[in-house]
Formats: sequence, structure tokens, C-alpha cells
Amino acid sequence: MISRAVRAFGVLCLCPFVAVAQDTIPQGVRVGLTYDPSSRPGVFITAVGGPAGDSVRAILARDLDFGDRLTVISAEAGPPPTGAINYALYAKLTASAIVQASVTPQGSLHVAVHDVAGKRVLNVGDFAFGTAATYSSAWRMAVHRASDEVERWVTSTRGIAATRVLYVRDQRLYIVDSDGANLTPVGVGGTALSPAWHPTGRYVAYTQMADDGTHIVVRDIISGQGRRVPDLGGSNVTPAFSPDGSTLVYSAGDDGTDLYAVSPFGSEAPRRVTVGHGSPSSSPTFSPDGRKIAFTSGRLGHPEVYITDADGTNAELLTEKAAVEQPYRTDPDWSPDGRNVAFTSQEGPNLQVMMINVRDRKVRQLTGDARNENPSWAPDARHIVFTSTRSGAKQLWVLDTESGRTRQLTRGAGVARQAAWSPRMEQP
Amino acid sequence: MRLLIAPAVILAAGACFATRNDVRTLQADIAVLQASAARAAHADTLQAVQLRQITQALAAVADSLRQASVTLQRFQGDVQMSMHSVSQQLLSIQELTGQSRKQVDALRAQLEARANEPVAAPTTVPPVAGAPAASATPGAPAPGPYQLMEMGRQQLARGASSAARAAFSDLLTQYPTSDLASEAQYWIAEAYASAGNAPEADSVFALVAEKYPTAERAPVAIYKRALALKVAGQTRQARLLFQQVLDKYPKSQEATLAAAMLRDLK
Repeated sequence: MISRAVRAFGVLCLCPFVAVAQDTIPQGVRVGLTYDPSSRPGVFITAVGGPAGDSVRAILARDLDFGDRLTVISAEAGPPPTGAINYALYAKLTASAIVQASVTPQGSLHVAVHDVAGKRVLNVGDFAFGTAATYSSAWRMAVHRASDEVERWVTSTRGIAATRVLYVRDQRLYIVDSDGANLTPVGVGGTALSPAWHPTGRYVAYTQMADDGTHIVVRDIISGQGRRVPDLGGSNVTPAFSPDGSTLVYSAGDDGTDLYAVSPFGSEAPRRVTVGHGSPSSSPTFSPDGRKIAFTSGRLGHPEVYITDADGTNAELLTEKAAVEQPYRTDPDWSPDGRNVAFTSQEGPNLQVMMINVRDRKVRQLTGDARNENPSWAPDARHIVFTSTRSGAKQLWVLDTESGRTRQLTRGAGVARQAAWSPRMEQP
Repeated sequence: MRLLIAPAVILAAGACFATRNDVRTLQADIAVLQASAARAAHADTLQAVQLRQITQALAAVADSLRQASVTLQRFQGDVQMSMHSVSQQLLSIQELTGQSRKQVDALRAQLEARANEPVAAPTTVPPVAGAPAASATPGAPAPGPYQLMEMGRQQLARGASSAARAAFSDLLTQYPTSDLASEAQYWIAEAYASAGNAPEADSVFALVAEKYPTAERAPVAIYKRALALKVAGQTRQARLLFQQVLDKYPKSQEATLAAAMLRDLK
């Protein structure tokens, strides 16, 4: 661990986060921190001063641990440090960075991150709680945002703590924070399925079942207002927003389904996107640049994942037909970095989560334990939330696709499924 | 009055004096009538039987007709199912054909790459330090059309639209009669579109439809042009191009999309 940590903190650094600090460093001398993605540098979080300091420290520690890029050193924090930091002491604890935080009387979380090897302050930031009550959802989200910035300061990659997961439990919609806390029902009234996030994180779209069929509803999760998007009647399912939020694509039809595009907030008639000739097409997901759509289609006689231009032209098979008795590939989700598409695949008697590289079409199996399905990428393009029966009942789990580490996100009675990971929540 | 009563009395008295012979005649008449009635009753019974038989026969015919109707419906259903199955199989075959062609193209690209690999130098001659690599020699064979297509597509997937365009342009310049020429032209347009250069993309899409009207990408190119015009608010021109797709390439996938667009634009 020590050698890994030492390797992580080389003296050569071109990382962007030291650019500001370099103003005070004589030209020609390079001092700083180099993060090696294959290592998990140790981070020590000191005791947090101010109201609810213990909770803040616990949330920070959990967030950094769940980020899978840093190792949180578990040691007694003692009292909040005062005066100069004893870097040598923290170096003995294998810490590469120290997180020093306090809740200020002005209602914000003040965070400083120290570079142990450089014996200096790496970065400082304040995260406002605003009017949020202690322990409330907005208060927790402010702490999550601090965690994400700490991760960015140390690794150059922003964390995913300030995100949420929208999912279905017993035909009802729920939202849970990325750490599994703050479970909140989304009051949609009636049966809801296949939820999706608007890129702003303010709206969600989902399938609502009604007497005259299924409809797509877009709901403002702050005001609670919802509206049905224009459809062609019959069955309308699996909505997905374009990355700029201006288009909603969903599957519609009775005898065979196709994808249709519509403005989520307008009233124009839906525009046809796919031509399946009576075969089912569903589960669209946009590439991050919005130019392409991956979707499931049965045009080969069994479900496979295809890619098409967003205007409906140039549809081509993405997942190769495998030599298995019951080939089945569905539920694609395009990674936010555009490189991979995660999907569900039938492997033997079970369903498993796989990912395929869009460029070279190399497939990687991500799960193998029990039945796993319905993957959804986190904004860091590294973590995936999916449904699994590995704990006995269907629950949501989070997988780090780089290390293979998993954690259970949801618990409790009922079947949890169809998870959709939110974009980063920029507002409290 | 007395004159009228007298003949009536005579007539009434005459009736009372009917002979035995008259009674016998009357009895015979009654018997004849009874026999006739019996015959009529028998005839009615026969008719009833016949009616019953006819009814049963009609019921049997109705059953047969019903059975025939069910059989016909089943047959129609089977035919529809078969037609649907055939159309699905045709669709699958089309998809698989497209997939196979892509795989064949990839294999051809690999073969070209292998053919272009430099021949290993004789082991008896040691390599000269600082000498240029064999692949960098001026006489190194140029990449084939499938290799260039593969390179261009890969560059485009990486977002390197200029490099992609260069590869497709090389293909067009070096192999103008290749089967891939229309594809290269099309992907040059896509590379322009990817770089956000809409006017150039439009003109090259137009070139695809003009130079290669029978190419698979020709309806795609026209459809893309029509969409760009629609987005730009030039509805009339867009409608003309959508109609062109429908008229010239009625069996293409883009024709279905164009038909839907024309309906919306009305």
C-alpha cells in the first residue's frame, strides 16, 4: 500500500488542479500530485468541527469509499486539528491526502485538502447548505457535492456522490441517493414503469399505465406537475431523453413497435425514427453527442441491440448474434463518455450485464453471480447500477466496472428494478 | 199467414219420416269422411317426419358450413401467420446479409493489410542501425480500398472527422471504380456533418445521389438533405426531397420515414 501510495504521489505533475498553485512556485520546478488510476491513494478525513460534524465526516468517508478511486484510512479522527498539520504523522498512516472540513457558522461546509507528500494545501472550497435543515435531503446533497470536489482535486475526476437513482418498486417510482440514503417516493399516482432522467435532473419521464393503454408522462420532480407527451395511442413505453433534453424518444405501436421522437415539452406529433416492419423496437438510449441511438430490436427474430443515426437512418447491429440456444440482448445504456454500451444478455439460464465497446465491438461480461439485468451508467462512465437477485430478491446493486467491486444500493420488501442513474445534481 | 204455415209443417213432417236407406247412406258418407280424415292425418304425419328430416338435414348443412367457415378462418390465419413469418424471415435474411457483408468487408480489409505487410528481411543480412523501417520505405504498398474504408470509419468513430475525410478521399482518388466508391462519397458527407459543416455535408450528400443513384446510400443521402432543409425551415424544398425518396426508392427504409414526414408536413 505504501509503495502504491508513494507511486501515486510522484514529484512530477501536470495535473490541472495545481495550475492555480503554480503561480507561487518558481518556474522550472514541478511539485504536486500525480494520480495513478490503477492505484487508490489513501485519504485521511480529520474530525469535522461544527454542528453534525460526525455525520459530515461519515458521509464524506462513505462517498469517497464508494467512488472507488481513493482508500479512506479508517482511524480514530480525534479532535478537529488546530494549527499546523503534522504531515509526517499522516504519511506514516499511508495517507496521501488529508481532508480537513468544518461546518461554518455561516451555514456552509468548509473543506481543505492537503497534499501530504508536498506538505501543502492542495485546494480549498466552501459548499453552502443554504436554508437546508441539518440532515435534510438538500443538506446531504451539499455534503455529497463536497465529496465529489475532493475526489476531483485528488484524482482529476469528479465523483458521483451528488447523484440519485430513480427506480421502480412494485410499480411505483422511487428516488434514492447514490449512497442508498434518502429514499423518496415520486408521487405519480397509478402504475409507472421504465423511468428516465432529463439531463437537468429536474424532470423524469416514465410509462404510465391507463385504461386506454400506456402513455409517456414527463414530470417535474420539484413542482410535481406532470404532462402526457403526444402519442399515437396504443402502447407507449421506454422513454429516453436526448443529451440536450430537447427530444424524447420512446417505443410505440401495437402490432410490432417502433421508436418515435417528440419534444418533451411541446405538442407536435411524434416523428418516426425506426422502421422495424412489424418487429418490436424499444429501450432507446442516446450517445452523449446526441447523434446516435442504441436500441433493442427483434428484426433478426430475437432481441439484439442496434445503433441508428438519431434521424432513423443507418441502423446496424451492434451486438453480434452469439451461438447460444436462446440469444437475447436488450436494455442498452450508452456510457456518458460514449465509449461503451451496457446491456442485458442471456447467458445460459441467467441474464447477465455486459458492455460492448462501440468502436472495436469487444464485449465484456460484467456480472456472473445470479440474475443481473437493466444496467444504467453513472455520470462517471465507470459505475453501473443494475437489478440483481444475488441477495435473494430483486434489488439494485452498484458495480465498479474497473475493479469489479459491488455494493447493494436498495433493501427492503418488494421488487426493485428498472434503475436510471441521474446526471450530477448541480442545484441543492 | 195461414197459407205460409201449412207448407212449413209439411216440410218438417217430411224430414221426420227419413227412411232407413237414408240413414245407411248417411253412415256410409260419414265413414268415407272418417277415412278421408284418417288419410289426411297420415299425410300430415308423413309431412311432419319429412319436415323433421329436412330440418335435421339443414342443421347438418349448417354444421358443415360452420365447420367449413372455421376451417377457412383457420386457413386464413395460418396464411397470415405464414406471410408474417415469411416477411420476418426475409427481414432477418436482409439483416443477416447486411451483417455478413460488413464482416466480409472487414475480412477484405484484413487481407489487404496482410498483403501489404512487408516481407521479412533475409536473416543473413543484419539490420542496419538507424535504417528506416520497411513499412516506411517509399516503395511500401498503398492501403487497399477496404483498408481505407475501415480506417476512415474508425477515425470517424473517434471523432477525427478530418482524418476520416482524408481516408475516404484517398479511397475515391486511388480506387474510383471500387465497389466502395459510393460508400466513401457518402462517408465524406457524414464526416462534414460530424464536424458541423452543414453546407459541405449537404453538397456532398447531393453528389452521392447524383453520382451513385443506385447505391444503397443514395436514399439515405437524399433523406438527410431533406431533414436538414426541414430543420432549416425550408419546408417546400424538404417536401420535394422527401417525395423524391418516396418516388425513386419506394422499397427503401427511408421511403417509410419520408412518407411519415410528408404526412406531418401536410
